[in-house]
Amino acid sequence: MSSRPLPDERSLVERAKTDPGAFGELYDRYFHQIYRFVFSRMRDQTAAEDVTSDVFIKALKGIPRYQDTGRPFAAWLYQIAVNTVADRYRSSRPTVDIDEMHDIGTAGPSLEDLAVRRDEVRQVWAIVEKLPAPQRTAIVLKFQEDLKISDIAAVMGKTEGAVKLLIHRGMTRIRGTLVPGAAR
Amino acid sequence: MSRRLPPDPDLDEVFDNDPQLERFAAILRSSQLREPPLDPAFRSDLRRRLLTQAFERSNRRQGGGWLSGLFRPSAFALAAAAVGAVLLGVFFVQLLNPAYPSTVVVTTDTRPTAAIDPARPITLSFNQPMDHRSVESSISIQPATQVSYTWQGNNLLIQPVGNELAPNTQYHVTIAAAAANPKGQTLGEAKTILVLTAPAPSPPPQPSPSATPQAPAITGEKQLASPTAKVVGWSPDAKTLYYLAPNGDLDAIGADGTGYRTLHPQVTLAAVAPTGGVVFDSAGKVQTVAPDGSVSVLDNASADAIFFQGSKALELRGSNIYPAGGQAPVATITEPFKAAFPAPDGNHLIYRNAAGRTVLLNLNSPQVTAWNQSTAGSITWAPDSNHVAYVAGGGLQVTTPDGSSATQVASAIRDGAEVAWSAQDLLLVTLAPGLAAVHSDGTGFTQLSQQEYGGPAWAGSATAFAFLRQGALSSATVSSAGGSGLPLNAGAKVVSDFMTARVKGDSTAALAFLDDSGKQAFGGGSRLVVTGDPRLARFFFVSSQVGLEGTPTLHYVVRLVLAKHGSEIAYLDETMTVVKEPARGLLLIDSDTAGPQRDLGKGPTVLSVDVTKPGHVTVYLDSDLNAATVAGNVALTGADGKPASIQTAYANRAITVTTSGLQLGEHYKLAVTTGLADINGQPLSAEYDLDFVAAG
Repeated sequence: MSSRPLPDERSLVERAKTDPGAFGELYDRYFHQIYRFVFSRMRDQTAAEDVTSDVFIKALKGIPRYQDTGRPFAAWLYQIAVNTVADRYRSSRPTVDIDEMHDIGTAGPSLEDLAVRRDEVRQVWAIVEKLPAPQRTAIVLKFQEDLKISDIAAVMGKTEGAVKLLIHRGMTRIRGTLVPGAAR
Repeated sequence: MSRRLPPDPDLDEVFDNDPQLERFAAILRSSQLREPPLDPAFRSDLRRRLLTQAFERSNRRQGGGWLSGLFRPSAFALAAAAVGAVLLGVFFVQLLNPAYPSTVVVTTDTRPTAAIDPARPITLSFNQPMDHRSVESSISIQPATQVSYTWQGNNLLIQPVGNELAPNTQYHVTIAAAAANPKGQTLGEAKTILVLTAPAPSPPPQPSPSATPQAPAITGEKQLASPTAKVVGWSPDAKTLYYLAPNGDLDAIGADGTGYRTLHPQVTLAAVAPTGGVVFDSAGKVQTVAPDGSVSVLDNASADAIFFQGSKALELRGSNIYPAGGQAPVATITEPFKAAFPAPDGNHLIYRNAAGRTVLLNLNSPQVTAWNQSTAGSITWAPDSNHVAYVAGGGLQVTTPDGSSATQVASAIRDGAEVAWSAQDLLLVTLAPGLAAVHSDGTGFTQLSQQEYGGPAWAGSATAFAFLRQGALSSATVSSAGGSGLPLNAGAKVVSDFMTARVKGDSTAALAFLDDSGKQAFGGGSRLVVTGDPRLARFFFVSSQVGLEGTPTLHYVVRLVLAKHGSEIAYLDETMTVVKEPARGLLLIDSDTAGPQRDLGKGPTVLSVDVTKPGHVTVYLDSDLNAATVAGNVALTGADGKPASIQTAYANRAITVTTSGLQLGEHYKLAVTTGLADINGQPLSAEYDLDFVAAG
């Protein structure tokens, strides 16, 4: 999500404030992205379905008050999703192993190399899951969801500088865990 | 391995050209989130719910706009200016009739995977007023169900006629495309709503044959001999009772009261050998009488106690334990003692020393373990030698032989009460006067009688016991004391936890509920998780019953429901056996047999079978049946292959099979055949068979 809201998205959001059909289009456009993100956090299909339902119901209720600040509409949905996940996360823990969540993006290397890279990916993401929640959220939104720092800041209600600091601290902690002797 | 990070100016400041941080960032960015499992039905259902809410809100807003606009001067002026009766007419028609959105949308307030109470109606919500007759005639329900309709505004409540929905069932409610609003606008395309019902209120384990959860009761009491001084015990086949008469005779009598005979006079103590025969002390000699009545001397010395280690007789003589006839002691009690209680397996002995201290002695090593608590009365061993019971503190205590885990299982038990522990884990304890029964975990305490029952002694079958009353030897049966002796609910919990792990795809967790044989039944774990499409969506219990008397097993039939895109399309039944692992006492799944995979939605399906009631078997189905097809399509066959004479009655999706010919504890096979049809004429999807043991 690196581009600014397209005019058609902007007008679609405006229409969705009064036109159910337009909200349906927004749902179609963002359902998969939000569901995928929510599942990656909940790691349980039923919980992910419940949280995703909550996110879009909250979005439907809140959209009349939505104000275009120049951020992508998805950032607003992510904001709702992050908060809803946080609420739910307190009462239920993920059931799918983190090892099953991520895989390397492209094929091409040798099988051995592939295995090593898969192992690296799993190790690093496993550490991400153990980071303090703000660091984890910032890193997930940056590297998994590919949000801009400014959008992450909007989602998390923080300044861009604060988000960068969270990512830096999280990455430093990953290094400290995986590279013995490295500065934490 | 080095990896270049794709340019992202956002991160320049974050990593400040730190190659290690850039490398980990590259790893994170190089990974892709795997596609999560997604139920398309969930996606479309959520969309429908959202659109319905959006439409309702839009309608409210439009209604408010109309009303507020009406009384705005400009609008009123405009209306007045028009003074058109037509315009007013249109306006009032619009005012009196809610708006008709351009699209007819139907939703339900439940999700396909979230079970509702079967007593609750299925609710369909339309986004606008509908033509009731049109909608009702457009609805079809699978499994076949006779329903009534109630409208509440735009909501349609669907309730089975005079009954609840079937439990454990996913209903497919289809609204045909022709369902229309009063203006003739139709749904456009058929919609199917999925509604899942929860298990029946008192679900999984319905105890069955000779089931322990039924309160035990004393039956068949009969006096066998008089006078009697002490019960020695039952023969291993439970056909003969041995006892000491007041004059010192060792007597025997058949369990049916016949065959009385004196085996030997002047006997001071005796014990029944596990292999048959009786070892006794008479005239200062330890002797044995074989089942055929022949007597032989084992030892020319008197014993203080006689017990057995397997088939080998042991004697406690003084402080030493000898093999009968042997000169070298196998173990020695190294301190003065007042009482000794040998274990049934002969590997341990508990004694109480002169100071009243209770001590466990291992006869196979010189090891002794002193209890922390004191005891006064008799100590009764469990038949498996793994636990003991004793009375202390006004209650019946059960503990491991080393006394380390005492738990009170019954209160208000007097000192000196006598205890008998059955092979099926039911303890009889004498009251003053009276007799009570309780399981070793403290469950099922029942006062059986207020009469006198001295020196109770279980037969090996663990349903009959002998006792003394006013000097006479009697026997009686404790109904429902038989069966496996294992708690059916506890076994169901094991199966339920096991199945929950399988539904989650957690084979590691599931493996923990299997013993070695169970693991083998599941191919070492490879068959535990149902992979692919359709996926294992849920499970429920079809039947459950305790094992035959003398076989400590529990049996469950569990249905695995397979779903594709949220729609349940098939099932298969697995029959599981639960046993108690001897070492740790854990209940584990020992065997599993899977039946064939069957399609759902292809006709009536048997949901559960209740075999708990004597003379009755009840078969519950998911569909309303054509009652005329019931007779002749349900059969009971005995173990000998002969059909039992039965009567059938049908009501509310349940077929009650009644017969007077069932023999308690006998194997039967229930068959429901495909001639059975639902109210739409659809035959049973597949013949249903269940092996069970007749209830007592």
